[in-house]
Amino acid sequence: MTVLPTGPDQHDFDTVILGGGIVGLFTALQLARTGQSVAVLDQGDIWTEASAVNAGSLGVQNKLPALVPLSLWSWELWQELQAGFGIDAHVKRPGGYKVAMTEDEAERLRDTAEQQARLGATIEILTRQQISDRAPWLSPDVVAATFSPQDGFASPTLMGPALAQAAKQAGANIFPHHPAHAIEPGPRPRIETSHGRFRGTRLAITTGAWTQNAGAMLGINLPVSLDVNMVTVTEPAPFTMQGLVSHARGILTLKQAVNGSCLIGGGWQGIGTLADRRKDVDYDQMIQNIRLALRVVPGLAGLNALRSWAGYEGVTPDSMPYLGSLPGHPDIFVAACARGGFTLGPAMARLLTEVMTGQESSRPIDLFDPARFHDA
Amino acid sequence: MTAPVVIIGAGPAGLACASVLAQAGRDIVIIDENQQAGGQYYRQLPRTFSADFRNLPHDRQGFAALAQVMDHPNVRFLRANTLWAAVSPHRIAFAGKDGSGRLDASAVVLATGAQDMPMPFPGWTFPGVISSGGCLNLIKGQGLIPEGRVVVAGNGPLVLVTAATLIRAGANVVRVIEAQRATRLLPAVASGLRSAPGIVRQALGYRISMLAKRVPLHFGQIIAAAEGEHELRNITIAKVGPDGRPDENARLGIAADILVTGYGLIPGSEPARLFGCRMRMEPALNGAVPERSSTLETSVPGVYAIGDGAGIGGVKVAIAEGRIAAHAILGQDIPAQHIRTYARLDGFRRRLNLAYLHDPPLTAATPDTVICRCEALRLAELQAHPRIETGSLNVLKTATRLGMGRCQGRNCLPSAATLLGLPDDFATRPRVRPPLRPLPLQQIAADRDALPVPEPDEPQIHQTGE
Ligand SMILES: Cc1cc2nc3c(=O)[nH]c(=O)nc-3n(C[C@H](O)[C@H](O)[C@H](O)COP(=O)(O)OP(=O)(O)OC[C@H]3O[C@@H](n4cnc5c(N)ncnc54)[C@H](O)[C@@H]3O)c2cc1C
Ligand SMILES: Cc1cc2nc3c(=O)[nH]c(=O)nc-3n(C[C@H](O)[C@H](O)[C@H](O)COP(=O)(O)OP(=O)(O)OC[C@H]3O[C@@H](n4cnc5c(N)ncnc54)[C@H](O)[C@@H]3O)c2cc1C
Repeated sequence: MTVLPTGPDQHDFDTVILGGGIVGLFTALQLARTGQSVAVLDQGDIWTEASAVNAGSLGVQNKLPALVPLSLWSWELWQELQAGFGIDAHVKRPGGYKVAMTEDEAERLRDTAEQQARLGATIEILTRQQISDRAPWLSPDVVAATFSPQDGFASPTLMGPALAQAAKQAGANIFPHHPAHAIEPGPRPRIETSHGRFRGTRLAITTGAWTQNAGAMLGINLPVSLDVNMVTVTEPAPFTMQGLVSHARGILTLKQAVNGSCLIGGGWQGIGTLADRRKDVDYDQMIQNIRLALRVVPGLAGLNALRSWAGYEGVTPDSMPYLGSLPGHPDIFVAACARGGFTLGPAMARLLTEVMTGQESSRPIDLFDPARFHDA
Repeated sequence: MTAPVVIIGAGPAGLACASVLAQAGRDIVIIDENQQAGGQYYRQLPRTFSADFRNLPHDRQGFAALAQVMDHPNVRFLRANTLWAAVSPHRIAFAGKDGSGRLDASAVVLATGAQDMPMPFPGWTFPGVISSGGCLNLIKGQGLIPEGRVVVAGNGPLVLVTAATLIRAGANVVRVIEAQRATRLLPAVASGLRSAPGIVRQALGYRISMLAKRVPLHFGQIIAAAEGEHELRNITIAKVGPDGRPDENARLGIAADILVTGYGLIPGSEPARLFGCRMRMEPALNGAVPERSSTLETSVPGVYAIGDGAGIGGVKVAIAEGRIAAHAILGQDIPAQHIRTYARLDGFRRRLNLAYLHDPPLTAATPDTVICRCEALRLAELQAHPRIETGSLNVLKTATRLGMGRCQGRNCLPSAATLLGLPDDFATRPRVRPPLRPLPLQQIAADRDALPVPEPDEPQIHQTGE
């Protein structure tokens, strides 16, 4: 562990937050509203990584069953954004279809739906006739589908600036281009950045895909593997697809955004590492992703693609997020790497806020214990 | 067997390059979005058209000489196909109606040409206001001549080209305005008498066409606004103020049915950026260009950039560059005469580009002017956006959708940085993302050379242990 020198160029806050994505900024907003002094440090500009470039799905059906209750709760928070925080992020909840293209997939679909329903999701298994009646734009090759009125989407583009603005208005201080490269643990942990030293009574690590690096600054093992997710967007088109489309095997998401553009995703992998920051499109993967989209919604075929891109998402070995205080560091917290972390962002930030302010977390977090891989 | 040289763009640059390569026996694939070779300068009417060619400014002889190469047995022409991605610098992806696939290249030549510099002003989105590049395409490529009173307004050599082309085609041009002062242009033009007499003679010819029809040409004037109800009625022009904006106190209204604006050409920099070429801003070349060696190779070995896409210079420079790149690809010394010709022309076009360059930059946008047409974003709302404080065009794009629409940013991003007072560097410019041009999903999906890949990992199902 490095011992940092003390000097004049030091900023003091109640809470210092590393990472200005959805988790970091939402946490900053909530903490600042309690009257705390809060600093958000980001290595680049805020809201430029996963939270900015994701596909905007707010899905319940595409979540691991264990995360369904959290997703439903996060949805409540998404719906409070406007009333509670004055944030308009084009949150839409038209429901969503989850599709199967083979009998095997159909079986998976029903199994998962049952598990998710037991955990509180509202899911309807559709007959082929119901699929044709309600979603005639889905291919006749879709052999089975479920519908949940709880799926929807929002605009990452609108959410970011609005959230940042709200956080600032609440008094949070935002420091872009302040990469943290060393942390000296508490009391009052210190963070060394390229532009001076920050000190907080508490420190929150909300560094998304970079969380393993942040843990390493403290000698704590928070394993994260990198997904380089890709998305393709089309020109705006007349409104046809209602709702979020997802896939029994989790390999497709499709939606028509508020401006009419269709977004195609599903976790197909681009090229890049945290070190090289390439975030390049892998053309073979991109093409398979598009082919699958056209098999499910053939009407997309003639639409012009405008752009494909890739972004970084951090994934833990068991696909559960990290949330809670770090082992041996009661004043250093982490909230990162939820699968479907745009959907779950508000819930992650709420839980983090709760544990950082010494409250009982309003949802169970034992599965998310950041210590779970530390001793292994 | 060595892979062919793949040339993107069958304009003068690409054709000149192909001619030299074909003569030396190299296999060549030429890809162009258009049905016919020719590019912008030699744009051809569709084969089925039988318009009267006499008044259309087609350099038929020049084109015939260059286009001979299209019949060479070593040349394969992928007409009406788009280069949409670089799978690697030597493996390109193309797409078209008749199929899509990939090609290995022993060398890639980017000869993809220029684009109009967007110039937003009040009313620029009005029907009846067209760009000079678009207007030239209508005339040359469709035989369509605008009707009614036409005003041509702009900055750069294409103003003369456009005006003369319109006049010769029979359009009623009532006024031509160039934003630069004549005194700024004269020294560069005079220098061209020695270094590029052919080009100066051509320009003189354009000027004579205008004089013959008594079409007034005014220097130091800029478009301020276009108005009308359902169609264009009036335009307002003004003296260019010292700040590069229309002078409030020196305005003039003109009745017009068509306004053709041409505020300069800029290199279409996206292909080179997609290939990963190191770029730089080069005012003498009118914008963002790939860094090139003396043999026109970019920073990516085996990838060459020639013609207006690598720096504005017009047809003669394009041809000269095509030849130089071809000799380099063949591993030959560049003939001394080519080097001399190119040095002369290159010096002239740089002087001319700089002479036309207005400092401070020309702007006619008002707070209410739409800057991003696809997303209907006005200047004031972009200026007032909280994320502008980041100084990054890319952050502003993510926050506002600036440049995210159908034009892929071509009609807004080149002028946005200047209008918003943001640095125009490559670190903060949005990245170029595939496809290079809007392309139907089915054409991308049709890629016959796409490799099968594993599907995304499914998240491990975690037992909740309830
Ligand atoms: C292409 C793509 C599509 C996706 N689609 C969806 C979807 O449709 N629905 C959904 O629910 N989820 C989706 N996701 C996942 C979701 O976007 C992420 O899970 C979520 O945004 C993560 O938020 P975050 O705040 O944890 O991380 P981020 O938004 O990545 O923010 C982390 C921040 O930490 C900063 N940082 C890192 N290290 C340091 C350091 N040392 N010092 C200072 N700052 C640092 C980074 O610069 C970054 O700004 C997608 C992800 C990607 C990449
Ligand atoms: C719209 C427009 C009109 C012009 N009209 C004239 C004129 O009338 N007279 C004049 O003197 N100058 C004109 N110019 C200037 C012109 O740029 C040069 O004089 C000359 O044509 C440049 O030659 P080039 O070979 O570099 O490029 P171009 O002639 O522009 O040729 C480039 C070729 O590349 C093709 N291409 C580009 N991108 C792709 C891609 N991704 N995939 C496949 N093909 C691609 C284009 O279809 C085009 O045929 C015009 C410029 C523009 C932008």
